[in-house]
Amino acid sequence: MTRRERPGPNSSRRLLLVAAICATPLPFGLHGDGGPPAFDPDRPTGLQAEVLGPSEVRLSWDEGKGGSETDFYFVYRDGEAIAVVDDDDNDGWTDRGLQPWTEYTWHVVAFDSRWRRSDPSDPVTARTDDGTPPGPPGMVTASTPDPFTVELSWGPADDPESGIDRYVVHRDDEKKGESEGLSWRDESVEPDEEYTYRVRAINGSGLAGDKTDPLVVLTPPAPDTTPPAAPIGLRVVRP
Amino acid sequence: MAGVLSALSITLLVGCVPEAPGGADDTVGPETPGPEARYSVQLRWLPPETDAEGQPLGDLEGFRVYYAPDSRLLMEEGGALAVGLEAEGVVTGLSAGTWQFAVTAIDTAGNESAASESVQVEVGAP
Repeated sequence: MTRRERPGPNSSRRLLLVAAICATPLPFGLHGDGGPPAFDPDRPTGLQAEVLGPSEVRLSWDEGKGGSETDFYFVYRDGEAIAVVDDDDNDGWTDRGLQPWTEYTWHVVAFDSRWRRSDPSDPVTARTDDGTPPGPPGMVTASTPDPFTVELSWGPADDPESGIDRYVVHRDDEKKGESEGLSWRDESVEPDEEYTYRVRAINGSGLAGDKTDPLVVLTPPAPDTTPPAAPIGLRVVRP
Repeated sequence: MAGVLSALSITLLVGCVPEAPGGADDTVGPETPGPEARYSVQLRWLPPETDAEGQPLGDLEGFRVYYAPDSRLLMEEGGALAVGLEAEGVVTGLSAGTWQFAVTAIDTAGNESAASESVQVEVGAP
């Protein structure tokens, strides 16, 4: 399949058809609301959408299932015809220029050479990726309940499109942990050591935001577990 | 009268004194006055200068004096008396008989040293 915009021997006819379909209400109902009954070709099957990014979704459907009479397909996005695709090189078709983090629904209709249309395929719905990363989390604070533990907490980050999925904690520029909430416990620290923490947010589309400013934490010294030496020279004296 | 003098001389030998109720020298006093608890023992020792690993000791907080009639009971079931940084203490309220004493050092973190060598004292014996 190839996009119909590619120059070809029948391009003028197809462009006219596209213009007609796009400029006017659909000539007959997409969902059986009138129009001639669909005989040939068979309705397309196996329509799938693969999100390629914030503005692109790749559509594919079963090859050759439109029936032997199929000559080309119309692709509809949210009920509007957006492309004509030949049935001569079926490798799918990519919808471009979409809005980020937006849900779209596509379906496909097969046409034969006499422009008789099939029933519409089952629709497929997909949401484009979020195009912008989240903001940084709010101020990070730390406490050290004991020499072997650092407890971090931070303010929420913001992502108006896909929302915040999780937070990633970096210690000394190395990823140390993840949290779905606003706190995280580091139980792999040593006493009397300095550690630098930064936190970043990951949004619902997997994009990472900026890290927070570094927060330096000094753990308390190790507890004193060594007893004194025993007293010596114990003797009894007069009161 | 002769018996009192005899007891006094023995207690002086071992460094013990009977606690005469209401007496001029009774500055500590037995905790539970009674006919069997009327002697006190004053002890003195040398404080440690290092911790158990030989490092200089900078956090000594005090001492604990243990006492019991039997050395086998000394550290576990005997009495214990906490004292401050002065390397001496007075155990009061002892009945007449044989008593064992030992002392440990405590640091500010609450770590307690091993016990010193114990000493045995005959208290109030005729």
